[in-house]
Amino acid sequence: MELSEGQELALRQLRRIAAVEGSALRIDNITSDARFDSALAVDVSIDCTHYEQTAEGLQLHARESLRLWIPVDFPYHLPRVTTAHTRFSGNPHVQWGSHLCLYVAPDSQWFPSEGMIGYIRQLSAWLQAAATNALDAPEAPMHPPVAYTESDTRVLIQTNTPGRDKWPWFGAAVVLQRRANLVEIMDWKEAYKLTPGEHFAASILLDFELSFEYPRTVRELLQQMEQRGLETTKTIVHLMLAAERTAPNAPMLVVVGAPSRGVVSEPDRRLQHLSVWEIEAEHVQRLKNAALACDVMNRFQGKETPDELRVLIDSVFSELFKWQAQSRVRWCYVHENRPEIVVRRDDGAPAAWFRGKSIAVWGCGALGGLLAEHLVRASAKRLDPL
Amino acid sequence: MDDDEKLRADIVRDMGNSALSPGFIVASSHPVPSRNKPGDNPPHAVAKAQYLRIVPNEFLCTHQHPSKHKPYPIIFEVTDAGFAYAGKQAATEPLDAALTAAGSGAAAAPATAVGFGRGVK
Repeated sequence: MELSEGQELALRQLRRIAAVEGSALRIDNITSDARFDSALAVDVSIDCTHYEQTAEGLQLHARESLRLWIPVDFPYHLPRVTTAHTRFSGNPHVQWGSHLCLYVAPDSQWFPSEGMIGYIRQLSAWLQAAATNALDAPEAPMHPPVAYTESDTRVLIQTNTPGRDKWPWFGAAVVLQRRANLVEIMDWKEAYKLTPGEHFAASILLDFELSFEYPRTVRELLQQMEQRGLETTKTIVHLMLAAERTAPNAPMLVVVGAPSRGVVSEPDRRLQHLSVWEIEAEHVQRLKNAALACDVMNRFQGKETPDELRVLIDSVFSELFKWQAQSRVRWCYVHENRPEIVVRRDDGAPAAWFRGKSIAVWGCGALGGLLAEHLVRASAKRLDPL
Repeated sequence: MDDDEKLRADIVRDMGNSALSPGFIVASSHPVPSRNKPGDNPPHAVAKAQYLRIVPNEFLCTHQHPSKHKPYPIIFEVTDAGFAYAGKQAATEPLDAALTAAGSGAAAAPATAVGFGRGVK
C-alpha cells in the first residue's frame, strides 16, 4: 500500500491522537481502496460514553466505529467519514444513510493546517451535537434537505413561490425552455388559469417538511406525504390532471416544495425549498390513461359497465399502481435564482448600479476591455464597445 | 481464506443496524492474527476488522482475553441494571483531552502538493 505524503501525514496525526494516554480514539484497521480514488481507509472507534446524551438526540453506542477516507491530496482536500451501518439514517447531516456531513460550508470551515487534529475535533463536536439533537443551532440557517439527482434535466427557478398563506398549494409553474435540458420557472399560476399550449410543471408546495434525504421511490414519497396528512389520492389526481395537459410522448415535471429554508428557530418564517421531479413519458401516459379511465367511469355512474370496459379500466389502474410501487423519483438538478432566497454577491456594491443598464464603452483596449468584462459581470443589459 | 472472497457489506450493515448497546462480539477462537495468508483457516483478521466496525462495545477473543499470554475466562453478569461485562475496560478521557495533548496539525504543508484540487505530483 503506497501512501501519498498527505496520507502519511494524516496517519501520523491520527496515531498521535490515539497514542495519548487514556485517548478516547482507537485505530482499529487501516486499508486502502482503489475504488475510491485510492483513498486511505482508516477504521477508528471513539469512546462515546463521555458525551452528554438526550432522549431526542442520536442514540450513540458506547463505542462508535467510523471509517475515515483520507484522500490522496490530503490536507488540501478533506477526508470523508462513513459508518458500516445505517443506524444514523434519517438524522440531519447524514447523507446516503451512512455519510456524516461534518461541515456545512467546508470552504470556510476546513483548515488544511489543522489536519486530522482539526478534523477529529470537528467529528467529536458533531457526535456531541448529534447526541443532544443540537446539530442545527436555533439561530443558524437550516441545512437544506437533499434530493439525489437522477435526471439530466436542470431547472432554474427565476421567481418567488406563492406565499405561505396559500400552502399547501396545488398549482402550476409556468416554464420556459430556452435550450435542451434547461427549463426555467418564470411564474406560478392556478392550474385553471393556464392558457392553452402554455408550458408548465405541476406544482405541490407543502406546508410540512419532508425527510432530510428526499425519498428515492414514488411509493416512499407518497407515503411520506400521506403520513404528514396529505392524501395520496389528492396528489395522484393533481398529477393526472397535469398529465392530461402534457404533450404526447413528453416527460412531465413536478415541482415539490417544502418549507425547509430559513432559520431553525423560526418555523413561521420559513420559505420553500424546491425540488423538481421528472416523470418519464411512459409513466405520464399511465397517468393520462388513468385520467381517461376516471372519465369513463363517471359516464357509467349508476349504470352497468360492460365487462370488456371494466377489464380495461382495471388494467389501467393496475399499471398506475405498478408505477407507484416500483418507480424511482427522478429528481432534477435545481438552480436557484429566486429573489427571496438568493442574494447577489454584488448587492449594495457600486457595481450593482450598472445592472440592467445599456452602456457604451469608448475604447476597448487594455483598460476598456477589462471594464467591459466587469460591466457584463454586473449584469449590464446591453454593451456597445466602440 | 481465499483471494476471491468478497465482503458482504449488506450483512455487515444489517448486523450493525440490529446491534444494541451494550453489546459485545465474542470470538471463541485462537488469537486473531494481524493478517492472514491465502488458504488460512479462521480466525481471520479481515473478519475481525468488520466486527470492530459494528460492535457497540468491544470485540473479545477467548484466547486473547485479556492477553494471548495470560488468557482468562470472559465473564458477563446479569445485574439489576442489566447485562454487564465483568472484565476490565480501558478507562478513557474525553476526546478533547487527547486532541489538546496531541497538539495542532503539521508545521508545514506537504511539499509535493501542486495546488488545491490537483492532487500530487
